[in-house]
Formats: sequence, structure tokens, C-alpha cells
Amino acid sequence: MANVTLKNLTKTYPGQVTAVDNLSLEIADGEFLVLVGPSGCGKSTALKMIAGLEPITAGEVLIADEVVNEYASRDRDIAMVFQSYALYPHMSVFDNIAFSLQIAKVPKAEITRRVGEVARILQLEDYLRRKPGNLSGGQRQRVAMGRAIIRQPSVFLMDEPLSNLDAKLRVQMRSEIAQIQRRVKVTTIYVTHDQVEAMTMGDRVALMKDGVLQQVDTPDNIYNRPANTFVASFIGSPSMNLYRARLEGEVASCTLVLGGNRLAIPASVFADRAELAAKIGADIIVGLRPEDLEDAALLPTHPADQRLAAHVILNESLGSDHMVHFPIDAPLAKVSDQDSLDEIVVAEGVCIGRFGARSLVKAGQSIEVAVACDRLHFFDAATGLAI
Amino acid sequence: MTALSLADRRRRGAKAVRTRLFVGIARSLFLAILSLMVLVPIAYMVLASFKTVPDFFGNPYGLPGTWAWDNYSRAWRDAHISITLPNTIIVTAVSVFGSTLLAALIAYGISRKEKPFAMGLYTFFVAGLLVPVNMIVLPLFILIKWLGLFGTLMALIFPYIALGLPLGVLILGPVAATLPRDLISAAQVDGATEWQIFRRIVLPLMKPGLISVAILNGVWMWNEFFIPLIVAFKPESQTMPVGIVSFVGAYSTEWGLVFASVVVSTAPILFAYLLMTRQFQSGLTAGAVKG
Ligand SMILES: Nc1ncnc2c1ncn2[C@@H]1O[C@H](COP(=O)(O)OP(=O)(O)OP(=O)(O)O)[C@@H](O)[C@H]1O
Ligand SMILES: [Mg+2]
Repeated sequence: MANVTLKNLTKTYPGQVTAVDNLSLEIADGEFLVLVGPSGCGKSTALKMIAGLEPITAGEVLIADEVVNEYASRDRDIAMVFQSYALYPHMSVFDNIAFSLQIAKVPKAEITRRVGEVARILQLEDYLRRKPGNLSGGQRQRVAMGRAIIRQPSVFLMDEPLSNLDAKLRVQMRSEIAQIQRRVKVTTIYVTHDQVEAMTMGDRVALMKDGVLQQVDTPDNIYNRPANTFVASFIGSPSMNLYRARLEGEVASCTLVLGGNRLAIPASVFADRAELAAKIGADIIVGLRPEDLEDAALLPTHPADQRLAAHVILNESLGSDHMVHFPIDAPLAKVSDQDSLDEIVVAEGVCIGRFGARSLVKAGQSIEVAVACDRLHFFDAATGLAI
Repeated sequence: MTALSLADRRRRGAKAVRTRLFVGIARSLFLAILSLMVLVPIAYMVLASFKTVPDFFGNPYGLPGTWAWDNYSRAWRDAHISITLPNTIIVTAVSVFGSTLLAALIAYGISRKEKPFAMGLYTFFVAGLLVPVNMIVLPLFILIKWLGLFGTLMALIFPYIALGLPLGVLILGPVAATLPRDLISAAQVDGATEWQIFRRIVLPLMKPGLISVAILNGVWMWNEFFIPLIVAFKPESQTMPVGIVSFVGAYSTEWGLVFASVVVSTAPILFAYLLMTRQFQSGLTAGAVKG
């Protein structure tokens, strides 16, 4: 068991590619940290530096409060699950799982016992004699997990271990991995670019973009208090709707001018955000989560000054709710390099609302949309940072 | 119309059958000729090895008049096969093992690309293919003399290992380059040292390439003539190819004995081929196809 600390970790590949830029993180003993970000943002590189598989350009990696920069992988007491699984193709499942123990010259009887135990946990008992080539994707994934947990290391590193599985298996393995981690209580750094994995598995989520850490926080806080427009648009599906807008009036009676629409902003919003009052009169970026938008027909008591007039262009009905697309005439705030995989945004300026199942709206209708104005997100128009 | 096209189709079908038949016959004929080209000299060699000298000259192509079995026992003694056969086996085995292992180490090391000069090293080793033995034989002679290796099998083993490297690196380089990087990383994380990674992961995965290198190098090392001719004067340190030739003309040439020796020197390779036809073929194509 150990905590992991990254201090100003930087990696520059030959050719001046800065894959990881000044990354500082503290991962507590036994914590499950999810490292998430779009493809190519340096997640794997960060993990490889922690694992000792990639030389560190600058900064420090500490495991159990000890600087391990100069340690070989084998001296860092870590186990890693690779995206490709990296099972040894010429060895049986048993030998794959047992390899690290054989290398460590653990007595045969104990190896057999421990492999048996791991195989039972992962339901691999029937496959121990097989070669990895004769296993299904899910079974291979479990062998890769088995190889990691048999070591009883102080730190688990997992690089997108589920990305090669089909959707159903992924859901199942997601909860299995989280359960195994809770049971063995080993510090875990889990890399993914899947925001569902990020939100559901970890104690905390660290979000990276272009090698730079954007925010580290609990999944709830990442979702409800995104530090900037990138985090806001990356987490959540469909993405947060982001528009350029302006605040007018004064704190007690403030109005948000969103294109041709005007929304009343409750004073409570300013109470939570000290700097927001100073932005009255200036351009800002406003963010509306799809679930904070609702068919006004379902909320007859919703204040009249917190509604948008909208013309529905598309209604994707999911049964449990409706994804309703309608244009808003305010300029869309572009988030550079947005790479949310579950992105559904179809056209510029189109806003998506998640309406309740009982909503009867149809494409082509003109409707009123109720906006939960106390749940809006505000960002600086120039920097994209949350206000 | 259907009837017409049916008949048409039948006619076409018959034509296809005839074409296929013709191709089949042509192919069989071609392969038969090729087989004869290989088998006739072998048969001639085996028959000649049982002939006495008069028989050999009087009846070069027929069966032996009397089967001179003692050609073999005499070759064993007089042509020093009893010494040169073990010599050849030792030299070939050690050289094949040494050059294959070294080539694997070099190819794997280069494939890790951790040093900027890795690619240059590959070129350097493979360029060795362009150096003819005749060109290096004089410096080799001096070097071996300086090392005091004359009269020992080492005088052959060292040059053979070195000469086996270019081909070995040429074949194993691409094989090593296709080893998945993650496998090496996984073994590192699993606690393996570099040597353990090489022994337990890299070597087993390169096996088809290793077999092909061993075969290609083994055949020429077994038959190599020039270097032992220059550096091995006495039967004690000679291999069969030179041993046989030095026997020719030492007295009036005993062709029966010569051919008996040749049979003994050819048999192991033929035998190995018959035993491992599959490995030979897959080994020879390994490394040709990526991945
Ligand atoms: N060996 C290398 N040499 C040069 N550049 C590299 C090397 N490995 C990675 N990079 C670059 O570093 C950046 C980060 O790569 P990395 O593999 O860490 O991304 P990632 O976040 O893991 O992406 P993915 O989700 O696609 O796996 C990328 O721009 C990549 O092109
Ligand atoms: Mg990656």
C-alpha cells in the first residue's frame, strides 16, 4: 500500500512533443483515481512514467513518499494492466498469471495456491491450461487483471483496460474492477477516455488536455463545478450547451441576455459566486446542462421569466427521456479540441435539452423551454475559466 | 435458350477440366524432372561409395559388381572420418548456437531503439554480407596465429560465428522489430531483469526466425571449405569437406572411399531435412512475412 505523488511531471518526446506538461497530483493510499482526457492528451505517457517504462524529462514521481525516478520498473512495486493486455502469447494462462511470482522465485506450492485463488476470483479456473490466443476478449482482460492482482503490489496502473471490450462486457467489467479495487484497497490509477468510466469508477477524477491537468476532483464536483469550459463540455452526455451571453441589470434583479432570449437570474446564484457580480455588463460564457432544460408544459409553475422560446428541429426519444434539439440564436462558445466521445451535438447553435418522458413535443413545434436558472454555469469569456 | 446455355456451359466445363488436366500433368512432369535432378546425383554418390576402384572406372553408372562395404570402415580410418566427423559436428553445432544467440541479442538490442545509433548498427552488421571470405582470409590467418588458436577447433568456430552474424541480424532484425513493445513492458513491470526478458519472452517469440537462421547458417557452416583449408592443416582440427579433399590424390585416388566419405558428410543434413521438413520450410519463410 502506498500513496503516489507526482511533482511537476513533464515529458518531452524527441521532436519537441510535450506529451505531459507540469503534471502535479497527489493520490492517497488506497484511492482510486481516474485519469481521463481525449485521445493523445498524454494519459498513457503519464502512466508509463509512473511505471518506469518511459524516462522522465522533468519533475518527480514519488511512491510511498520515496522518489522513484531512477528506479527500474521492477523495483517500484507496481502492477500494470495494458490496453493491449500484453499477455505472453507463448505461455499458458497459468504461466501468464504466475510469471511475476516465478521471476520472484516464490515456492511452487505457493504459486499454485495463489494462482488458484486469483483464478477463482476472476472465474478463470477452467482456462488455466489454455494459451491467450484461444480466449475471448473478456477472458483475456481478466487474465490481464489476474496478472496484476496476484502480485499484491502497492500500486495498480491500468491503461484503458476495457477499451477493447464490447459495450455489455464493459459495463460488467467496470463494476468488477471497481469491486476488486475496493476489496484489495490498493492505490489505483486508472486511465480511460470514457467519461462513464471516469464518473462511475473513481474516488476522484483527474482530467487532462494536451498534457495539462485541467481539474482534479470528485466525480460530483467535476460534473457540478467544472473548472473550465473544456471540463464542462467533456464530462456529461450530451455535452453541456455553451453560449456567449451577457448579464444585465444588478445583483437583485439580473437578466441573462442569451441571443433574443432573456432569463432572470436569481440572487442566490450571485451568493455562491463572488466574482460573478463584477461581470455584470460584460460578455461571459453560460453553460446549460441538458437536464436543466425541461419542457415548460410539464412545469406549469415555472417562473415565466426563466423560459426560452424555442423551435424544435429534432426529438430523439429514448423512452425514459427525450433529447430535444432546438436552435438558440446566441453565438456558440467553441471549446477547442473538444473530444467527448458520446458527443451528439449535430449542428452549430443547436441546444439539446433532456425532457421528461411525458413530454409530447414533436419536431417542427414551437415550444417554451423551462430553464433551471439557479443551476446555470458561468465561465469567463476570455479564459474559459469558471466564475 | 436455357438448353443452349446449358450445353454451352457443359462444353465450357469440359474445356476447363481439360485445361486443369493439362496443367496438372505439366506440373507433375516439371516436378518429376526437378526431383530427378536432385535424386540422381545422390543415387550415383551412394552407389559409387560401394564400388571398388576398378569397378568404379569399369562400370561408372551401374550397380556395384561386388558391394565393397569395407569402403566405409576404411574411410572411417584412412580418410580420418572418425576425427573429422565429430569435428564437423562440434564446429557446426557450437557455431550455429553461438551465431544464432548473438544475432538474436543484437537484433533485439537494436529493435529497442534506445540509442540513436541503433539503425546504423543494423546496417553495419548486415553490410557484413557483402564481404567475401576470400578477402578476409589473410587477416584472419594472422589473427588466429596471433591468438594462438592454430590446431584447435576455435580457429574455425570464431570465424564461423562472426560470419554467421550478418545473415542472422538481417533475418532477426525485422522479427525483433515486430515484438510488441507492451509485452516487454509487461515483463519489466512483472519484475523481470533484461536477461530474463530476453530468455523467457523474446527468445521464445522469435523461435521461427531462430530456426531459420540456424538452418541457413548451419548448412554453409557444415559445408564450408575455404577457412579450414587455410587454417587447419592436420586432421585433428579439420572438418570433413577439407578432410575429404586432402584424401583425394594422396595415394592413387580411392574413389570408393571418397564417395563413402561424401555420403557420411551428406547424410546428416539429408536426415535432418527429412526429419524436420515442416520446420525447414516454415523456418525459411519466417521473417519474410511481417508479423
Ligand atoms: N514514443 C513517442 N514519440 C513521440 N511522441 C509520442 C510518443 N508516444 C506518444 N507520443 C505523443 O505524445 C502524445 C501523448 O500520447 P499518449 O500515448 O500519452 O496519449 P493518450 O492520452 O494515452 O492517448 P490515447 O487515449 O489515444 O491512448 C501524443 O501526441 C503522441 O503522439
Ligand atoms: Mg493511451
